[in-house]
Amino acid sequence: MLEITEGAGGEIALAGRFDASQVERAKGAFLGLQEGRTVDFSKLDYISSAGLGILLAAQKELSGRGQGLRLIHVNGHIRDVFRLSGFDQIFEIV
Amino acid sequence: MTLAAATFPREVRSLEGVFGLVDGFLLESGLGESRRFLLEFVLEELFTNMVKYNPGGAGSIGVELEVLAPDLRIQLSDPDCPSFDIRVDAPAVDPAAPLGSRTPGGLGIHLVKELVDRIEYDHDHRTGTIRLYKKLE
Repeated sequence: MLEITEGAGGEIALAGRFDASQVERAKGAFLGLQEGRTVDFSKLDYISSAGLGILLAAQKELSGRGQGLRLIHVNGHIRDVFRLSGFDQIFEIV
Repeated sequence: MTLAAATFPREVRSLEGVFGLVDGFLLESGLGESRRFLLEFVLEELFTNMVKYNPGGAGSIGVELEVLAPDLRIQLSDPDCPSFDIRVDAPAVDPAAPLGSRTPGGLGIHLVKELVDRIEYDHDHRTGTIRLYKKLE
């Protein structure tokens, strides 16, 4: 299960598992963003290519406005996946 | 050698059961949580590909997990599919490509190939079987 919450400052926090079964819910949170956001991964345990695809689509939309997603508190496994896919070069990961 | 095996209906919602198989295997084998991400990632990517690209195939998809020292073996079998060997048939992904030219297609298979040490594939009488090995060191 994936939990998506939005803080008062617009920060998006993810918790749980971002797998193929969660794609439709995640589209609502990430597609159509009007400005860049910080995304807190501290409680995200797992992400698959389905989740990466949603983040990629959001990043492409935002880049057209000169903005992007900033990812924080990314765990080691997920950081490895970002590195192996080259996503560490197209997202700001803090 | 610890072995876990089950078959699952050809639908994305079967993932919950697939991950349940991983839960039991990790407990039984004593491998611990450090292998969970690898197992779940590889199984999700390959299982969902089998569902997505062969929705009309007959029969359920088989999954096996085994400690086969010095390796961890992950196997998926589709009993009714055309041949698709991810080692040679999957589209190439360029991880250095800029954002503008990136698409999600093929990313999952690319990552699976990066995460495991060895892949075997055979296709016989429309049954496709992929075996992936990861060193347990």
